[in-house]
Amino acid sequence: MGHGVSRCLMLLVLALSLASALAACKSAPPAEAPVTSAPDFTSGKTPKAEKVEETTGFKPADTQAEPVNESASSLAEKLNTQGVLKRINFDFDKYDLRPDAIRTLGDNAATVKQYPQFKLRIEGHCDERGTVEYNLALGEKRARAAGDYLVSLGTPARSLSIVSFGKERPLDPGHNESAWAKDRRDEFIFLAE
Amino acid sequence: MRHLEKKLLPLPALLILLGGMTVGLAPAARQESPSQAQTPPSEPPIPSVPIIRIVGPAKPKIPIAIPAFQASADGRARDLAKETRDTLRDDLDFSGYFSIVPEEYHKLVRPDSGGHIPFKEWLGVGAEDLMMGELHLEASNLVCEGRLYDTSDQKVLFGKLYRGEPDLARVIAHRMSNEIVQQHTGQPGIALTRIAFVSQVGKAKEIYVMDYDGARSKRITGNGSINLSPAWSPDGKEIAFVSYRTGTPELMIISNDGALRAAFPQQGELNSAPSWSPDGSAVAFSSSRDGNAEIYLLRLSDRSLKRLTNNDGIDTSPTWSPDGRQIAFTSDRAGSPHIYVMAADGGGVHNVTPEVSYCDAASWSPLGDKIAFTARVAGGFDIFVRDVKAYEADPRSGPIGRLTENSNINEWPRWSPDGRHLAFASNRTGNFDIYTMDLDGSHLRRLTHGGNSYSPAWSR
Repeated sequence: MGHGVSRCLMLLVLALSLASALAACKSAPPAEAPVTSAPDFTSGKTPKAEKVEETTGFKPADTQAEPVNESASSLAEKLNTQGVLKRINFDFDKYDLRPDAIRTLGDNAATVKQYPQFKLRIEGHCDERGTVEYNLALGEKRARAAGDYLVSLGTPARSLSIVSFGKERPLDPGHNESAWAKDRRDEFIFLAE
Repeated sequence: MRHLEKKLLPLPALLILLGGMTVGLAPAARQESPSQAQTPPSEPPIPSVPIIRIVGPAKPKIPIAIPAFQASADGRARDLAKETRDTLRDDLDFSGYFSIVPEEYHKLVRPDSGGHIPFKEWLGVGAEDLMMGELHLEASNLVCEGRLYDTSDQKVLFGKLYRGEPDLARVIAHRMSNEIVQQHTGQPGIALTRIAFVSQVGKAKEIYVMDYDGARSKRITGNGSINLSPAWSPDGKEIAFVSYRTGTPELMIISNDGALRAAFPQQGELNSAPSWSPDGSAVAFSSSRDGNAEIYLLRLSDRSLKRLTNNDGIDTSPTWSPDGRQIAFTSDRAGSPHIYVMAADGGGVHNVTPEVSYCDAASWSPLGDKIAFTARVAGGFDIFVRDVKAYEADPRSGPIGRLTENSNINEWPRWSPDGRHLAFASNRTGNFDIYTMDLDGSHLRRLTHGGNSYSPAWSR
């Protein structure tokens, strides 16, 4: 830059330190006040998957390391693994119980009656189509529909809990109707507590 | 229905053209009955919807030349000068107010000599504005000087000196861009805004925040569970989101100082879809606390709750009008999801997308006139915009514009604070990524790469 220009600039250029520049700026300082990790969070600097996968990977080991509670929790675990309570499926964007689901729920109600020591959790799931939020509500409707029906068959309401996973936990990761048909489901889990 | 879907196929090419087109928003694929089903699921009738491209009156863009910033000799300063200048160029290009004079034209202008910028020559290559910069390192700080000239008046429009840590080169460029936009339009620029989003981390989903251009991405949660639906507070200091960290979907709020809290006491019911009111005093969200997904209002001052909807269907995904007087949301009360609008006290509920068979994830423009949403179409999901202001005045007007069309999933549109751009998620490359585009569907920018990223939220 030439001298004339520089002189001209001297008058116009506001020599601001970054701090005063920040103060002059209307919007929140972007770099100086970043949204940072919460205290209980791992550092957010270079996100990596490893830690998360480790945590998940530990679960089976924890289960093995609890021989004390074998009678209750391992029986529930065993029943869940064996799938004695059957899944039910739904049509796209629907939460009404299909005739096949009603038959399955009848069987599940009878099975639940055999294990009065366990609580029951119903998980509602959706296929991958549609947005996260709508599917959360849809999954909740599906879980609740099954819960209401089980209660009508005599399952004690107080032993029931429901949770929706929306489209977050697909059973089949495929992107076609046969995968989606499996994903639209309720799962029934015994809880030993 | 098959017949109709076939008819739809040739339309994509036609839709690029301006004018009223008829497009059926058909279900993406035929619903097969799962093996156990007795009756084929009933499909909603497929209405024909006139869809047009909304293209606003094109304002002429200001041609601006941004020659390479001068830098002191050392390589580090030169790199930073290039980063600052390139970031500024991208910002101004993105703003939509400027056209950038191509760099090959710069060679046609002789280097300024004797202290005189050859304004006429810059004007000769079409540059009405000329942005010049100079950068050097001073101790550990970078010091950057920017000057904007009007080439026909040969005068300085603005000049400023910035000083900061070397890793703030992009921030300095964003700040200059905002100054230039403000100078020309009187409107605040958006180059310092940020986008929060959800990204897959192993089996978990965590919340991230990045600059509006995709740079400087940073993870802000790390609890290893499912974290969803980030929503900014209007002051940009807090983000509400949904977390499964305790096993059930809870509404959480994280502050920029790292503090994390439950939005209110929750007992395992479904709480989701937070949306901050424009005045920052309340969060609208969806909850099943009374047995069915309804819209509630959480007043933040005393954490009191007020229920706004009451029906057997799903009510979720609220979004505020910029004046805070109305809320648009998704409801399937008519059988399939549509976008409804109600007063902020829950009164006067009405459907604003009756002709679209499946739509969701609405976002109300900060300018107040439009609502963007996702609709299910033959082949996937696309982003649409309803001119809701015109529609409310007369339902026969208020056209719906279509902004994406590529037989993939394009969803979750979220407005930039100036109402001129939209962020959204798309799986057009196979993975989900965050993109931005202009209001007419042009200027597509991909902001995330690799992994799966969803649910963008643009800070105000």
